[in-house]
Amino acid sequence: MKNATSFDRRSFLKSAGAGFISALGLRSRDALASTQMVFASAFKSQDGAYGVMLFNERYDEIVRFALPDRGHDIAFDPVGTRGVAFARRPGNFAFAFDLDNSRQPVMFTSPSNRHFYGHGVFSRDGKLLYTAENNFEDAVGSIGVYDATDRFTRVGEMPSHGTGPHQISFHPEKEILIVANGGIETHPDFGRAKLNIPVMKPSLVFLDADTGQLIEKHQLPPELHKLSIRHMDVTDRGRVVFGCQFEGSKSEHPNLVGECSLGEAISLWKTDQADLNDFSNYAGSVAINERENLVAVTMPKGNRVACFHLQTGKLLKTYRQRESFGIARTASSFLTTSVQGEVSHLAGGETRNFRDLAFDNHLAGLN
Amino acid sequence: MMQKLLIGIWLVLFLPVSAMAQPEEKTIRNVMHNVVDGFVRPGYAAFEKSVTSLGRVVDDMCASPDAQSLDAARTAFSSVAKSWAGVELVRFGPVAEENRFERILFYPDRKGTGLKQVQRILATQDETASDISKITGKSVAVQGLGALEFVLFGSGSDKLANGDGFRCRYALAISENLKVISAGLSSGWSKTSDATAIWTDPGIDNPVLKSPAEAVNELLGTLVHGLENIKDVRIGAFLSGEGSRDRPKVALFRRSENTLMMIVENIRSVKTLLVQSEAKTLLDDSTKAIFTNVIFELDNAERVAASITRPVANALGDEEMRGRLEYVRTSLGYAIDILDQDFAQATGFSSGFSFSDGD
Repeated sequence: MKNATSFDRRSFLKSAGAGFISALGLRSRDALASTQMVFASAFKSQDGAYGVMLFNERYDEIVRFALPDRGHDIAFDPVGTRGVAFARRPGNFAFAFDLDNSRQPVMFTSPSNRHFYGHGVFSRDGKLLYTAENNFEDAVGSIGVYDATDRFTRVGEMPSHGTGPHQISFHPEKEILIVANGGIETHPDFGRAKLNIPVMKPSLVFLDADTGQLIEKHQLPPELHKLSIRHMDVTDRGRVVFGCQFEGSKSEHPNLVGECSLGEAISLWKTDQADLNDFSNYAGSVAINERENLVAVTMPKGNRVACFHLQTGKLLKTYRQRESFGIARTASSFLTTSVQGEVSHLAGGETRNFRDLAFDNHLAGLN
Repeated sequence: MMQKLLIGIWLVLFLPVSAMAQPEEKTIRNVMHNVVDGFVRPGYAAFEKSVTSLGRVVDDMCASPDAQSLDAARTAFSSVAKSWAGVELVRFGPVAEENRFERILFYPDRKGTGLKQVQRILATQDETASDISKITGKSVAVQGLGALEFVLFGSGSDKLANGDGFRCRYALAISENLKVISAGLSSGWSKTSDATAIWTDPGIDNPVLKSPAEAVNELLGTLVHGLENIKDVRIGAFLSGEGSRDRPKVALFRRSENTLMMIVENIRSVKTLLVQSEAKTLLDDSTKAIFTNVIFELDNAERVAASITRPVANALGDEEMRGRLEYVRTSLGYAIDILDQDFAQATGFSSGFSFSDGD
């Protein structure tokens, strides 16, 4: 048996050097002080190094942290000033940092028989961190539980009630976790190979955050079993909008975006076939802006960002953006990040290109 | 020479994507035509031919069982495996429909679930598995090459020489099933097929490849994923990483001792695709060294893999042979990096294939 990608915290701190733990510079402090919103994205720099960068709504860079390998998403503590960047599968490290860099960052890892899936979420009080993990020997998904008040010590685990848990969210009104089980079995012995495509069974699951008990499990019709439910955003009332990636024939183009709420059936939003053809069977990130009644979903393989009406699910507009994977809401619209290092407001206006960076799959925002 | 190559690649790495000379649309269309005419169709034609021959040989074995006919069936199986290794990196088009890819070969069978299903069929003499009209509805793991290998080479297979009726009928049903699938692949890639139109005519009205750039990325993806499959799935299955044990029993086709043959043929197929498609024409004069470099790595990997003549379990137990396997894996890793980063960037369409692979 091979362990998940091994990472040693001590070696990282040594290799990261002094820049990693230094206090913020003057410009960074100014950027942070004048900031309304903070955004964070994992990146790969031109010299091949990986990290996570924080910037504000004016695209002013606040700080960069080094990561030992490729990161994926970042979870923000809803009541504090911390973020956690997660390794992309099959990585096993997570990196917790303070937004004001007032405390030394904490690097922690999943157990050797688990690896992260790149996503996690804090509890509403910020005391616990839940992470999507692969129990790869048993080929089932797990939710790891870490004590955010004690240097992210692992304190528990619960089943994800599916295979390949990807993005997870916390219900805004209940002690309930929402898990997008992508349905795809992987094992670190076989790199990133997908092992069960003919029989994959994705699901969207609501589970008790305290006990791990399954509350509801939603699945798409059997003929759509290759539609992997992977990313989501949640409204203030707990309505989930999710995005999918299709693992079937490239000649088929099913609907990729849908919704689900506790106690209600899962459904896909119907989109015109011509638009679906443009989305190339891949929804990247999902972001809801309730004030504007909008949902934006990146379709990076199709070089599009799709904007839907939150209430009706109707596709309102598609924007052409090259390889934009990351998206987060702003006060009045959305911000996107691309593999080309571009940061753009979806509603238009100035774009900044961080030419030395390729932004990774997700953009996290904190009000 | 190598120093010049490396300098060229170093320069590529630090040029922005937009600064790269993108190949002309005409060049890309020509490459995609070459992919279909020079690789996909010949590959599936060879597979269909070998499968047709297998059916005849297995039929003969069932009619006149003896050691010679069993030997002929086993040889025919190896020929089919070899022909499949030559084209299995194609993951687009008809092979991606109706689970054809997994029905031909389901691997890895990580928990041995498929093997247990095959053993159960043999133990219970489940006649629904020996019926061509019913085997297609069964698990993908019991209707393709993985199952057939166990039937022809696994425990109890020697009885085929003495007339094991059910086992032979099951072998025949699998052979017929493969024949139907291979015929579907060949017809699915006919000159007038949708697949041919899709993969040779990228453009705004194409439902899959909406631009020449997408066509180039699809070709690169096929090459990179094909190499990753050899390195991570085929070799990685039995050759451990640091701190873990080798696993010779999960090696593909270990019973028929075709594991290394498959790896060699898989590597050759990547080279064939690169050469036959004339992918080199996607690079300009300043970056053509990238093509030479990837072929260099693949040549090394193929040569060393072909030099391992022992069965996998024996090779893993020999330090020198095991070192050769490590070498092959490392060379494939270099080849992946060159295609994934240098080649992708040099075409001007991508900052690196895998980075845009998503998750």
